[in-house]
Amino acid sequence: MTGRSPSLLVRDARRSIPLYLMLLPALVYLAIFAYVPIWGARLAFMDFSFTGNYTWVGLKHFKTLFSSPIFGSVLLNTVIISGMKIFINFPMPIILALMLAEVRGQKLKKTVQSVIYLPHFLSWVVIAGIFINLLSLNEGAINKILTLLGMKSFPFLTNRTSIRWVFVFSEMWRSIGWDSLLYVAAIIRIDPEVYEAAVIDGAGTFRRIWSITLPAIMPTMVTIFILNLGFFMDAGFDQVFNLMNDAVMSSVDILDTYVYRMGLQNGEFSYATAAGLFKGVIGLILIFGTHVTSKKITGKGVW
Amino acid sequence: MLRSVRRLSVGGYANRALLLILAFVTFFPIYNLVVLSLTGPKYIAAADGLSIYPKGPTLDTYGALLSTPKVLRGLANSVFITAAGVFVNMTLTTMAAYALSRTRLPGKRVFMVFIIITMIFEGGLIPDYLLMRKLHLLNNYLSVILYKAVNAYYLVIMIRFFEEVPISLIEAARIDGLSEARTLLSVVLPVSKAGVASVSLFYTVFHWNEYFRAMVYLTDPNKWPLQVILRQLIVGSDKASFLGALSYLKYETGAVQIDMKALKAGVIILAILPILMLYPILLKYFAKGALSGAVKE
Amino acid sequence: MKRLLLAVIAFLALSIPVFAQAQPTEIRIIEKDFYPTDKDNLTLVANIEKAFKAKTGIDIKITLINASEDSYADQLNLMLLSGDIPDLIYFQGGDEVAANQGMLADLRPYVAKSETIQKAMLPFNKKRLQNYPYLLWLAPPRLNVPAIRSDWLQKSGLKMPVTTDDYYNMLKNFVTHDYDGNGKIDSMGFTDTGNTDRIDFLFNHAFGLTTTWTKDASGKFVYSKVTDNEKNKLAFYQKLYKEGILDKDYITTKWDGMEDKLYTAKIGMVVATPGLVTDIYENKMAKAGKGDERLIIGVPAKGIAQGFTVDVSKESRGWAISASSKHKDLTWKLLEFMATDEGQMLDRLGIEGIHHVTKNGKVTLTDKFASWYPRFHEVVGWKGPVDLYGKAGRDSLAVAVKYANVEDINFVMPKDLAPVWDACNNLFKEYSFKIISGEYPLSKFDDFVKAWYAAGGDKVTEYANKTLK
Repeated sequence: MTGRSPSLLVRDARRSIPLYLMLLPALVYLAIFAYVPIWGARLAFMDFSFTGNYTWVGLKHFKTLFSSPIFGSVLLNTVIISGMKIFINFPMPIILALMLAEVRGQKLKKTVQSVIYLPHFLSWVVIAGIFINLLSLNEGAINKILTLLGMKSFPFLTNRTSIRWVFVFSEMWRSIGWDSLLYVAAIIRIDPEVYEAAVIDGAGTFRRIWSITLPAIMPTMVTIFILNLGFFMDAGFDQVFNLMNDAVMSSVDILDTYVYRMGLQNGEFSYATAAGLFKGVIGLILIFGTHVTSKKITGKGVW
Repeated sequence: MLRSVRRLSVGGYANRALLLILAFVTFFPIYNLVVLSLTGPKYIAAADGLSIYPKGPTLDTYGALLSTPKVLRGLANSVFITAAGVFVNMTLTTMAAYALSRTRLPGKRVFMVFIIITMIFEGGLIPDYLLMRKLHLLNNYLSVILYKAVNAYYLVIMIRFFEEVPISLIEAARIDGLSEARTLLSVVLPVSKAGVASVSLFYTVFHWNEYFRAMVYLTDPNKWPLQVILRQLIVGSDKASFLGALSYLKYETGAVQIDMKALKAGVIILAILPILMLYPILLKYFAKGALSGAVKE
Repeated sequence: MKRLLLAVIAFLALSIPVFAQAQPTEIRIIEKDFYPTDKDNLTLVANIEKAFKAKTGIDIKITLINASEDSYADQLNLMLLSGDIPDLIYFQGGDEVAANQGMLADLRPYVAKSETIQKAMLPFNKKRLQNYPYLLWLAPPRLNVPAIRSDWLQKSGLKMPVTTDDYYNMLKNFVTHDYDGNGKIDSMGFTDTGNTDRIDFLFNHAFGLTTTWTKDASGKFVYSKVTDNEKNKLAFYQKLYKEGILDKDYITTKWDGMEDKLYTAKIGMVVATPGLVTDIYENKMAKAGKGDERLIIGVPAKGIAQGFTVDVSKESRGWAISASSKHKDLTWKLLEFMATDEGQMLDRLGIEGIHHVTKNGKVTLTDKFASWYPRFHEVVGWKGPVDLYGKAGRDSLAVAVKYANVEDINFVMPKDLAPVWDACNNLFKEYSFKIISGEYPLSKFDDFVKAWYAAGGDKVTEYANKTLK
């Protein structure tokens, strides 16, 4: 709390009673349906048994996780893939929203807006199928075009470097439309008169965007960026699981696919829970770290 | 508005071109799936991701899917669960977001941390299941309706939107003697249409697509939502593609063949169709001028 | 008044056992895709209950528990966790955890007393039960058998291949001609699904890879994938890849992609699961073509050896009886009944009127029969009133059973070695693809062997030599 005197605080609290009441249902819900199961995650520190007799084993499962010979590379892959995705796929929806805002005339805008979100609804099983078909060495459309143009066909899916780019771009294809929604909503609120004034002042397109649009959507951008950092260690299990193949395991095996292979498939729930806790802790550190930093620099954070 | 500039700059054309390309690239795969779902059995094996029109067109695939009472019941279940779920979602989330968007709220930081932790940590399937069991909610629609009823991510987004409401409006409401609840309903919500619409859409899509928890919590198949039913039409790699689907569908006419590829495509389209129809309605809230009736600064 | 009350109580007390006896015993079964809402399943269950009573005089009520393939493991685990354990459980993995915690019944005493089941078991089923007595699975061996397009084979004028060279010549012939008539020389010999597992069935024995662990010159056990035999096999695969015989996209092809390539006549041979699946492939292939194409079943390639290896450490999937079930004996009786003639009649033929029709004592299969699969057992060698398989299905099963001639030498990896073993396997997967695709020269295989041992393969080999005899 800011350094307000206790009596002022009490007065504020009393005045805020209606607000607390509005907040209460959500808090109660979370206490029951989120926190009780989270308490169940202490399974990570126990040996699991169907009969319900759990034995406390402390950090044993974490040790097993960290001591695997490929844990290092798995962790690295997770960080690299997540990092690439954030670097490319964070700005893209913003750029898309800006592009949409620049379109005069409703028809084109409406048409484009009604289709770009479509891929988001497809599951990764389907999308992986699409991209595998597209990028196959022999039969893929892209390679067929390349050979037609006289170039050599490229093994997009089996090359250890290019496969990561396939992840990034397939993710972008899937989500750019959907993710741009929030930014479009934020841009809507900008008073058109501000733009008009800027144009009269002689501001060009980019000047307008830089001075008006971007600052206006900055809070949204910062919020989304920081929140997404909470999921940094996820790197997209569904996508990786469906798009990976034996040839590129070493560069795309992420934490979740590794845990799936080792843990879940053998009923090793404690192990899987331990990995989940590990991911969560990192995510939490990232969120609070960036939040505090962002507040210091820009005055804005998640709250 | 500046009506004098009719000609587009080069940048303007480039912009439109890029947008059109994006629209095409995102639209085509769905279109292709529709084509596959309408392709006849003789040509389906050769049909692939680049097919532009259905050869030997037939409605049999959709006929088979829609004539199964399971599918229709699944649809009804999905609509019910989604509607009830979103209602709960929006009520809880909007109220909480409004409260947390008021800067003067003592303890706000604590609440925010409380909420964000739930975004990152999850107990997982087993603790969730055991909790539902303890609450005797297994096989009850409520277990699915209440699944992730408060999504921390969406909640924070909503708080952001509410924070952007001009203070002058809130103060005007205060002066007029409106209660907090009234302020939310009459002042804040109308002005945040786009944001509220977005979050509603997010929650709707979440409920509509949810299949795993529904399958696990609801042991009575009559309660299963559409996604669960449709997903089971696509059996795993254990048996050859044809087996499970037909027996599950019980398609009567022996002469008609439903091919797995067409079936899969049809299933996907059917699963996303209702949401697709919802989206244009949503776009209305994104029209400029959502700030109509606001106080002039 | 008191006497009336006593009389009523006495009547009730006496009638309870009568009522209790009249109540059929409930047996709860969980199997993936055996839905209680499916009409056919319910009909089957009713038929089974009737036939069971007719044969044994016992009334049972079979209750099916919902579980779909999609999340079967999760749902099963949840059931086991919540103590709500069905009597008869189908496992396809994840059973060891339950077995180790004593939740599954030892089936050996039951099998010892059952002539029916013993007759229905193949030799490797018996071995598996010996080693791991918790699962019973009566079904054809899960091997993959080569099936060749009849039209292409005919056009090539070659005889059925037997040796590795025969296979090479035939496939090379396919690849250098235009048998699919599309005007281009672009056909392939065969493909695989993400790895070389299928074609390994075809060629492993030919290259001397007959068991997972083999004895080297000094008599110590060594992992087959780091031997020179494996190296030679990879050299062969490398050649196949280079010459376009092995589909270059095999590493990203999934099972439906493989089927597509068969139906669109891009490949001349497929290595597939015997029985029902082969029949379906043949049907769909013919439908997509002229209609007279068939799949001719080949034998595993002959080289240093010939045949298939069968794992005998345990059934990889199968039926288990819950150790805490109150009706263990009865559940076993049901399982046994389904392997008898009467049981198989119900399980294999499907529902009367839908999957087969009986007229004047003669049974014919309908065209919906292709969508039926047995829910309990698929006893190999059971003779029904009508042929359940097409020629391709029959032949493939015959080949699978005839050539399953080597018992594998293997062991269950202990938990603490699992991470290391995972790393070793990943190493193999990557090197094998790189060598096959030509990115690495064959000489890199020696680097692979070194790396394999360094990644922990030495620890596993040490353990192997301690455990295996």
